[in-house]
Amino acid sequence: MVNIIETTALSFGYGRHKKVLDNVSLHIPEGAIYGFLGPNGAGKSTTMRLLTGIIPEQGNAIRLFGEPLRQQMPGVFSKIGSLVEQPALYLHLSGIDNLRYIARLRGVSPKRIPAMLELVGLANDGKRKVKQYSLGMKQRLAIAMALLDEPALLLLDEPVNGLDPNGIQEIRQLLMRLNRENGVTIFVSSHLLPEIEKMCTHVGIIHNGQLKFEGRMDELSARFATANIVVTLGDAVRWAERLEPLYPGLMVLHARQIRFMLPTKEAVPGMVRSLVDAGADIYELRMEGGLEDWFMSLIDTNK
Amino acid sequence: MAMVNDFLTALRAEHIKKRGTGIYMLSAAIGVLFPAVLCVFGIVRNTQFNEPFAFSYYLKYIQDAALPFTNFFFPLLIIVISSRVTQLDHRNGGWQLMDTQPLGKFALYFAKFSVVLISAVIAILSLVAGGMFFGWLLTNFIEVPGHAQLHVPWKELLQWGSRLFVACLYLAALQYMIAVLIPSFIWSILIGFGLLLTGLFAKPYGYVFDWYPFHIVSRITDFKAGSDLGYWFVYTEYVSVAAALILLYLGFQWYKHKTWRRAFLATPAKALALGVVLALGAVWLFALLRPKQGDEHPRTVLAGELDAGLPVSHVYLINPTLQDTLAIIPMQGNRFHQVLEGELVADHYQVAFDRFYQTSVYFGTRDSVYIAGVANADASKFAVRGTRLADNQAGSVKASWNRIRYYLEQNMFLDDPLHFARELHADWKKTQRESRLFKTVDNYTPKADFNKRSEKLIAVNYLSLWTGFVRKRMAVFPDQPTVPPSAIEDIQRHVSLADEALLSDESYREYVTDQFILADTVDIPLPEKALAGITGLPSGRFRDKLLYWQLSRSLKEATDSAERTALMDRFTAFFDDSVYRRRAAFVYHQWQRVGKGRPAMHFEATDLSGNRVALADLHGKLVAIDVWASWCGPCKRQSPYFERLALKYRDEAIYFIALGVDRDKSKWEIDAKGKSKSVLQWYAADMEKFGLEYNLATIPRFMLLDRAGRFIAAEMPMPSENAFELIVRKELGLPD
Repeated sequence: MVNIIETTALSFGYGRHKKVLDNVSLHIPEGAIYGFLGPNGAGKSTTMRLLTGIIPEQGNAIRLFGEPLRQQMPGVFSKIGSLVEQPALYLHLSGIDNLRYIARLRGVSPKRIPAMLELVGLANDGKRKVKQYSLGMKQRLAIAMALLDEPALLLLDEPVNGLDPNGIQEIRQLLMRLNRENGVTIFVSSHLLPEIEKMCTHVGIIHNGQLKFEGRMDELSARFATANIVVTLGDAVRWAERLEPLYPGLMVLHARQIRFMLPTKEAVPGMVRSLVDAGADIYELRMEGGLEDWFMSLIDTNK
Repeated sequence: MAMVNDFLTALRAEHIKKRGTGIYMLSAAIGVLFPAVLCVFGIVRNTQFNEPFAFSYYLKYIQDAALPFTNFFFPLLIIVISSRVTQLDHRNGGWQLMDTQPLGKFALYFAKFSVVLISAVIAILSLVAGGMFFGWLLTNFIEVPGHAQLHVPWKELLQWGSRLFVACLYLAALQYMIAVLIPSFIWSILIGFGLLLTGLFAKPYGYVFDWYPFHIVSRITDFKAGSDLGYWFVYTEYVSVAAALILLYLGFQWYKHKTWRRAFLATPAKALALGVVLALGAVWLFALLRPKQGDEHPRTVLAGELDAGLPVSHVYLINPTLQDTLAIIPMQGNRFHQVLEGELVADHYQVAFDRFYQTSVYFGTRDSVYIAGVANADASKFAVRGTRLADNQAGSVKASWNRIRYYLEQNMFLDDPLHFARELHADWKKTQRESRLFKTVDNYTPKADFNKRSEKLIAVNYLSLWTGFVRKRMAVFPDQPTVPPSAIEDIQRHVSLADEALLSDESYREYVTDQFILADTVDIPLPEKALAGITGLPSGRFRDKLLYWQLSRSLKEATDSAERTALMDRFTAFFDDSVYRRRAAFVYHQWQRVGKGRPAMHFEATDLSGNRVALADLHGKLVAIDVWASWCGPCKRQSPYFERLALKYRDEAIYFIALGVDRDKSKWEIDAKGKSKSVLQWYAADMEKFGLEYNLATIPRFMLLDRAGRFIAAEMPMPSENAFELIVRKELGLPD
């Protein structure tokens, strides 16, 4: 399958020594919702700017739609809708005029504007000046501007930043619908794992300018499918001896705590039931080393 | 083609974006403002027009209104609008939004620049349209002279407007580049405003640069008429185009690549392109800005045209020193053309159109000059083109006020010659530097010989001030000799005391004779000292010319016939060349003829009733004559005094005659009718003859004749002076 976005060992540095991106190779297949995950300062925005040509590329590592980006500028943007960093809007204009401006630049019929406002839930606010909009409305208008030309690829940099939970959910549903109904490939960056987990089909994790993981969402889940269980219970040593044959590699952490591994998370309730049935006094049960932990540890080392 | 489409798309999009900003309204308002203000001014102050020649009323109105516009408000408008349109995108990430649209950066950059240019065009068109409307409005309130042309000067307006537009391109490209580069609104405005003010403040001090964008714009009103040579645009407008193209290239490349390094140094090809653009631009600008000089002509040609109401038959070329005629050129229609043979030393020659009009033209051998003149009864105006275009324009730029003259008038620093000399030296240096800066609107500079002459004459002016200072010191500190400090000697090195080429200039002759007068401490009249000094010079043309000039002056100033004869007896022998002796004799006879006791020549005239009258009719009484003309301001100031005396002595045996020498009789009539009836108002019948016979050089001129029609004085004091009345009383036999 053709990758809509493909970078081959993309590197970028502002100065001679400060490398912001180091050999980042991305592969975003057609029809994916690709979550680009990383803590703040990992290089997400720089990647996004390079992909949109806002920062000229230093090498020739970026390919969009199977062709080098450099050779397609600026025509390729007719297939791309983008939202980079804070929404770029003209505050002195109305929502409709902002869309008209984009329609004019892209040669799109202005007739599409009402439908687009409807789509992002601004149908009643189109004539108001954008400076009167709330942050969420601005964000939705910016997305409408990115979507106006029915792009094949949507590049969104932290699109839910600063939105309330309700707004976040609306945007998420909108993106998933676009992907499902129109087959739009979406490249979305975020520093929030739950956000990505909830809607993405693919994920790339970046940290300190290096790509730590890239693959399908279920691959990532599979990688963290096994569950490390830490159980606090009365008389650990006795239970350890009884459980050792069932869970090889079980360890006694101290007198009241043991740790062992289950092949899947789905095995956890059964394991608990059998322990209780066997008469164990369970005080606490905790899962360790999941996706969340791994991602959090990335952020921690960054601090 | 795709690029054009992209550009048009981007331009239309810019017009959506600028909605509600009022950019075009502001431009139109600035354009209309000054024509409106001028109209209000005109109504309140009841503007009078003093243009003596036919002029286009609307063109003049618009150009007058444009003065604050081109000097300040139009550049300011461009600064503000450049910053305004770029700020729309500096705020809230507009540039990034544009970067991610399927349009070339060229289209985006130049679409926005076009908004600036469209604003400029709107401002210019509003100025013109506003000028037409308010100019018309004003005609309903004030009186527009009959010779003002009231049709719409389409071609002139188109040329003037297009010059203004082209002149602003450089400024617009510069300010647009600054505004794109600098995201801060305040800073881009401040930089532009700073440059504007710098230009404004530098201008009065003579720092006017033909490469400075703001001065290029203000030149549109400094040189309203445009090229002297008939070109549509002048060189500063081409400079504007060249500089604008370079700046647009630099600004666009920066915008495209976001940093200077990436734009120009990232690859050898980019560095090469920059080098080529800068080199071509530099060559182009150099070629435009390099001053030009008129080429030498294979022959010496004097030609021209005169647009005057009356027929002129001949043009006379007159030697500046001897006042003798070098050539008589017949007029054909209103044009003349003559190839002059022989050597003609470059100098300010007089060119006279019969005896009606006269102008001065600087030229010499192998120059071809063309004099274009316009004249009517009130005034005349001459412009010289050809190989001495710049020389003749520079010659008419007079040195104005200078502080050294002020020190001298106020008797300052009389006790400190060293300080005075230092100040004088500094001021001389400044004037000299400024004189070298002269360029015509077409970038022509005077030729080397003219510049050298100008420099010498500037030095002469300053040395004359020094002479005045020395003279004052001699009076105040008679015991302290004033030795010229080294600063003065430095100036003296620039001027020889025997430079024949400078003798046509009165200030130089005065300077040379002053030196003789200063050196001679014997207590005799000053002119005599000068004459005595001149005779001490080695014989030759220099002495001849100087002697002729000084002697003519003494002959004029001499009060009686015996004195003149004595002057002639004593000094004619010193002339080397008989031409000068003959000329001196001619001058002598001229003055003798109007000398005291000589019979006044017969002349005829017409009075206000149209009757023929003559001088001979007036025998038996004294005759006081006031020679005047309606266009002569000093005459008009003197005539009330003359009339007061006429009333006071109306019962005495004296006629008071005001003899009008206007060329236009109707003008004389209007003025003469308003004058006192105690003065006989006459209009001279043959002005040519009268002028020649009465040695009439300037007016007002007052004469007094005795009862037998003989001169008492051919040049009386002005009637505003008591001496006039004293002489009259004495001749009437009245007590003092």
